[in-house]
This record gives sequence, C-alpha cells and structure tokens, in this order.
Amino acid sequence: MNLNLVVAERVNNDTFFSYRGYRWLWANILLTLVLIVWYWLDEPLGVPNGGTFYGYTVGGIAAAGIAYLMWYGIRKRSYHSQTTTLKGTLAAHVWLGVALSIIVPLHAGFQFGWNIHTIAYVLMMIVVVSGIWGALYYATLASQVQSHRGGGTVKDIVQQIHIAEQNLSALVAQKSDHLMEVKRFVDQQLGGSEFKPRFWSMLLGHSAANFDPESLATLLAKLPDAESADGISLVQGADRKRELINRVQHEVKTLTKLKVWLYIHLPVSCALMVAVLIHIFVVFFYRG
Amino acid sequence: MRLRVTVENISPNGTCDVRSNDHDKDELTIGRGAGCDILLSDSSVSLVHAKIISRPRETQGGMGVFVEDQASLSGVLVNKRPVARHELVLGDVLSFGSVQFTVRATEGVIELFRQKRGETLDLDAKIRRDVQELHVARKLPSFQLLNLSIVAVVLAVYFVLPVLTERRASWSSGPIESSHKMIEHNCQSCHEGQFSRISDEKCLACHTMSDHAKPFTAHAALRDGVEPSCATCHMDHNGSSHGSVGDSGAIGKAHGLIVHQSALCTDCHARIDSVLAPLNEKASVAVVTGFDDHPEFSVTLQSLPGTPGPGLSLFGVTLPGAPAEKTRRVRLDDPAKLKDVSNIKLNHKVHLEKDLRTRTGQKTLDCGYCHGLNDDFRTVERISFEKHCQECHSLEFDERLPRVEVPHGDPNVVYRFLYAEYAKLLLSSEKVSPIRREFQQRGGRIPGKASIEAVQQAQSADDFSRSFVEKESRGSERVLFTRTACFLCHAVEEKKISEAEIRENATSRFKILEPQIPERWMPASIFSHGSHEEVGCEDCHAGVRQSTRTTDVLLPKIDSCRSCHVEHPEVGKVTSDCVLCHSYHNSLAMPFERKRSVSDIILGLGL
Repeated sequence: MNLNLVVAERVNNDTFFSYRGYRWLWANILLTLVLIVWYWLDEPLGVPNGGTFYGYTVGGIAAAGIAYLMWYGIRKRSYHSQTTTLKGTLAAHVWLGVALSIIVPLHAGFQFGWNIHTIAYVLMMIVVVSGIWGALYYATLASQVQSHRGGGTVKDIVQQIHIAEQNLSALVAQKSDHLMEVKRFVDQQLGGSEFKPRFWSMLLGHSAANFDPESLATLLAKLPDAESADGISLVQGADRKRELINRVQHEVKTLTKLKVWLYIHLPVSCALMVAVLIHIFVVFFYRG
Repeated sequence: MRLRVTVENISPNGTCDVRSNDHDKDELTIGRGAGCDILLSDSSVSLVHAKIISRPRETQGGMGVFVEDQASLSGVLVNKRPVARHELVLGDVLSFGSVQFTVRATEGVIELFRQKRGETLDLDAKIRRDVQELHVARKLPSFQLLNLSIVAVVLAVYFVLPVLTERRASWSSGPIESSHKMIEHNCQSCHEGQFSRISDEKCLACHTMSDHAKPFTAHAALRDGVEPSCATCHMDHNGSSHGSVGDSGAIGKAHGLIVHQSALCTDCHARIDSVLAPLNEKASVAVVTGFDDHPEFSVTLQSLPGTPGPGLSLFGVTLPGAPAEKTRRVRLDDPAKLKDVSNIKLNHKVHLEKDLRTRTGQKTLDCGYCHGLNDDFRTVERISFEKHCQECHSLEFDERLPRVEVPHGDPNVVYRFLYAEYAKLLLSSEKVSPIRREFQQRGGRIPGKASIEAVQQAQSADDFSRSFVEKESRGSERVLFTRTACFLCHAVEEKKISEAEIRENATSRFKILEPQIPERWMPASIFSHGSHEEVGCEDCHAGVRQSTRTTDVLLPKIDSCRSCHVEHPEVGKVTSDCVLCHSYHNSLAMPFERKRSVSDIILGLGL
C-alpha cells in the first residue's frame, strides 16, 4: 500500500473527539487543572467569589471561551478558511465547552443562587449537555446514515417506494379479486396502498413488521392456479416496499436525532450569550 | 334505461372538474374489470362488483331500477346496509368497496353521483410531497424564530424588567448579611450604580468607625497607591453570618460580612517597617506574620511613681517637667519592669491558704470568690470591699465599741464617723462611767435634763468633751490608717498640712492612694473568660499560690495559649487568626445628628 494512502487513512480516522491525538482534550485538561490548582492555592480576602483577582481572571478566560465557542457558528460557514480545519475547530469547540462547565464554577467560587449569574451558568450547562448529547449522536449515528454509505438519500428511497407501489398496482390490475385480496392485506400492513408518510408517526412509530406468514398462506391458497406466480411476485414486491419504508424510517430517525439537539443547543447558546452580557453589565454596574 | 354517471373531482386547490357519462342499457356492470360499463379502478372493488338492472318489479308491478351484488368481496351497501338486490330510490347512497355514489335525478334521467376529493399526483409530485414531509426542519420552528424569542425572553426578564421596575433581586450576586436585610431591595443604599465602586460615605452614613481606619488608609495609600475602602475587607452578598444557610435562597455556604483572615493584618504587619519607612516613622510594634511568631504579650500597667514622662514636645524641643504618662506597656518577659503598682496590697498566697478565719467561722477561698465572671460572660468582676473583703476584714476600731465599723470610703468620712461615734460614746454609754462622771462633774448637760448650772458650766464641759472626742478619734484614725484595717490593704499617705488646718476643717489626716487595679491588662485584645470556663484558672494564671507580693503580675504568657492555639490547622488544636483575639475597629457611638427614622432606613432614604 502506498505510504501516502496510509497517512491519509490515519488522518481520516481522526474524529472530532480524537483530533490530532486528543490535542484539544489534553489542552483543556491542562487549562482546567492549572485553574483548579490556582483556586486551591489562592487565598483571597473573604470567600472565593467572582470579584477577586482570581475570579476576574478566570471570568475573563471563561468569557473569552464562550466567545470562541459562539464563533464556531461563523467558522462553520467559512468554507474558504485555510488557517484551520473545521474538524480541528470542532475538536476545540467540544473540549473547551466541556472544560467550561468546571471553569465557570471556579470563577464563581462555587456560589450559586436564584439570580442572573447562576441563570447564565445553568444556560451554559444546558448548552454543554445538549452539545455532548449531539456529539455522542454524531459519534454513534453518523455512520448509520444511508446517504453517507452510498445508500441513497431520503428522496431516492421515497422514489423507489412509489415505483414499487406502481409496480404492485400494475401487477394486480385486471386480476382476480383473490389476488386483490392479497394486495389489500399487504397494503393494510404497510399503512395503505399509497406511501403517504406523516413525520411524527414515522419518527415515533415502530418499523413495519414482517407479514404474517399464516395469513399470507391462507390468502395465497385461494388464488386461481393461473395467478399463483403473480401472488408470489406481489408478496415479493410488497416485501421490498416494506423494507424500503423501514429504511426511510430509520434514515429519518437518524437524521432527526442528528439535528434535533441543535434546536436546544443553538437557541440556548444565544440566550446564554445575552445572559453573560447582562451578568457582566450588572457586576460592573453595581461594583463592590 | 337511461343512466348518467357523474364524477365530480375537487382538487385540494379548490378547482372542480365534473365529468358525466350517459349509459342507455337495461343492464350495466360495475367493477374493476376492463370490460365493465362503469369502471372503478379501486383495490376495494371486485373485478365485476355489481350490476344495475332495469326490470319489472315483482310485487307492485311496473318497472324498477335495481342494484344487484355480483358476489363481490366487499359487498354492496345501500345506506350503509349490505344488500344482495335493492331497488334504487332517490337519495340512496350506494357503496362499492370504498367507492360511494348518491342516487339522484337530473333532467329526467337517473344519475349516480360521485364526489372525489384530492387529486391523483404524478410520481414526482408524490416524491416532493413525501420528502418535504419527512424533513425535520419543516416540522419545527426555524432557528431564527427560536433564537430571537429566547433572547427576547432573557432580555425582557433579566434586563428590561429590572431596569424599568427597579425590582433587581435577580441581579443580586447572593444573599446579604442579615443586619442589612432592611435595605436589601434598595441597591442604591450601598451601590451608586454607574459602574462605580462602593464609597465609604455609604457605609459611614450608618456606621461610625474608630480612628484606627485612618492611619491604615494613609499607610496603604503610600504603599500601593490604592486606597482601600470599607468594601475592601467587608464584602456583602456572601450570605449571613447569623442566619441559616437556606433562608435567603443561597445554595452555597453562608459566610457573612466579617472577614476573618490574618492577611487583613499581616498584609502590613508582616513588614511593618517597610510600610512605615516612607512616612519616616518607626514602628512601635513588632513584625508579626501570624500567631506563630507573635511576640510575648505586653500588659498595660500604671506608671511607676516618680517616673518622668516623655516630655511635652513643642517644635522639637522637649520641655522639662512635662506630665508623666499615666500608663506604661511592659512585656511579660521583662521581669525588671513588670511591677504592678496598683496601690493595693494583696498576698495571693495567704488568701489561698486553707481554713481562713472569717467573722463567723472558717473558709477556704477559691479564685472565683473574688474574681467571678461578669454578666457579659467575658470579663471578670471589679474587686469591691463590700463583696469580697468584708466577710473577713472587719473595720472595727475600738474595743469599747464592739461591732461598730468605720465606713469603707473617703478618709474624711471615716474621721467624721469616728468623731460621731466617740461623741455618742461619751453621751450614752454606761460602760464608760469614769468619762461620764467627769463630764457631769464639769456640769455637762445630759440631754433632757437642762439646768441653769449646767448652762453656766457648759463652756468648760464642751472643752472637755471636744478634747476627749477629738483625742479618741484622732487616735483611732491613726491606728486604722497606719497599722490596722485601712493600712492592711491600701497605700496610705499622711497629709503634709498643719495641725491647725486639719482641726479647722475636721478633715482626715490621711490620704488613701487611689487604687489602680488594671481593668484591661491587654486593651487591644478580645478575650473571653466565658469561652475558657472549662479551663482551670491556674492552668493559665500560674504561680498564684506562690505569689506573696502585690507587684507580681500573674497574667499568662503567650506560651500558655500555644498549648491549645496554633496558626496553621493542626489536629486537636484551635486554628487561630489575628481576628480571633484582635479587633480592627473600635466602634464609637453613633452621633445623634446622624440618626434616622425606621421608615427612612427601610426605604434606604437619606443615605
């Protein structure tokens, strides 16, 4: 094997977690440890809080960190960026986000209350947790997306389903009522002769089960001899339709999971940004 | 039979397409099969589902139009009821599988009317429809809408509302000290807002502070160029130092407003010389970095008699004869200077011996007999003659006057008391008959028995009585003040004034030097005897039983504290910072002109 290919393969095997040998994980562990040790050694007047020298410094680091995390929303769309890879930026985004969940309480001296300051932290934790949720989905589900594996997009599968449907209809046209009975049975099992999906039932529902062999056998036995081959073709075609429906359902579920966490992650991160700005305004407006 | 079949197709966008086919046969077939007259391409319809036949009625006569099931799988329903054969009546609803017709009459012909909703889509349209349906982004609100709404909510609740309504509890960084609860919701009671720090004026509006704050401020200004304010050390919003943790919604630990950290003091005192150097001052206190290197205690004692003061300094010239300092500070490890000159004589050793003789019997004293705790549970009682000495120490002065004691107090009063007692003795006592007889012989007047002779002889009797009483009084006075009762405990001086002057004013010949028992040996410290009540007195005040001289100072040295107190945390020891024993401020009374009404305080007015 060509050496260049080996290198290329290794680079490709990096996920956004493990980018460059967990470089960003180690960097953030180091940052957090340094701040923890400093917190432990620090002896501020009074109790540890956001207003000490340590508090201001770590607060500044955390604010810069949040700004950097928000910047990912811009970086993600800068397709022409040459300076960093998107995967590297995402690795930094993920690990810095996790680190902030420890750094911010250090900044506050572990003081919490029912106020805008703790609200900002709670919002940040919602963003971090939803981010971890999304990252875990990506790590486990991204490889299951059909289109990522050359399995066709949702549109491709839907098209095949409808073509299969047309074939089934063509198969039973002008055939005996018994064959029609078989088709009605399989249609009923697949939710109607026409595939007409509803998003929420597809997302929350179960996949279509195999046809009951006994019922099928009973129905097929009634067919006139001339139509027994058609019967087999009908069942095979319906089976393929069923398989396609299950495939599109799995695809829709996977794509939705990969996306739905963003409906928490993004709006709450916007709220977080505003809460942090109010927090900074308030603590300096009413300085101690 | 003429029959019209009309299909009305209504598409979702509202357009209506009506198609009619007229049939003129007596027998029409209905079904999915290609050969049927009325073709219904629906999977619920059989190949040949039913027939519509025009034929004579069986009973009433005449011709009728009938529908007849052709052994279809799903059957024929008329008005939702399955039938094998049925004569059609206007208004009947016929069902063939899922296909429905209504029977009606138009232009003299029977019409089977069917209404279809929806349109049959081509393949591309179906795919487009399904792909759109299955896309999550089309099922949830857009990110722009979500982002904007949540940002608007946060801004409204936590910024706009607090700004407009002045309800700013959500801006508080934590619960405040319980004593500040009254002004909790008036941020401006302490905060100017406007991004400025809390000014001392805000604190001093309610609190009065001692002068200690001033030199500290001056030094600090020189040191760092930053003037520390009250808020440098006193930071609120850290919970209450008294209240329970949960009472103000705090999740963390409550710490209160008072900072207990040695750094507050050692910040300067650990390098006091360099702090004072720019001021050209020399430190009068030792360098202290904490309890571990705290110097031996010093006590405040009375100045030794005859010690010249430091002199009154005026323009750098020290004038002679300047007043002496009233007190002096002496370290406990300086025995040469460590002399308590309190003008009181006391022998601790003797007082702690067993079975001392009292007026009524015997008693063994303990420390608490004289040094009980005050009601504040911190300090020790002042010694009083009446409470602590009188039980044993009698102030009797003459055996002819048993159980008569001079009052404990002013020597002049003591002398006049003696004078009065001897006068009474002279006049009333049976036991002193020689005196009385002589008095009467000289014509002394006995009360209630006046006589002319007596008045005539009064002059000489008065002389006698005055000289008798005065002689006895002066004699007893001298004994009391130079040998017995007073002299036993007090330092006494004989006045250097003429005999005539003393007689003229009937004053005492002696002067009691004012007792100067120190009430606060260590005035800069806060020590509570109450917190140490389990500890035996002599564990700290060692050597009391051996002490025979009044000048002995029996206060504990710092080493005896060190058996329990340490600077750094240690198992089985009390971690002790500066604030444990020292106070930074000496509170002064609030000036009356600064006092305000309760309602003003609650509303945060007048600050």
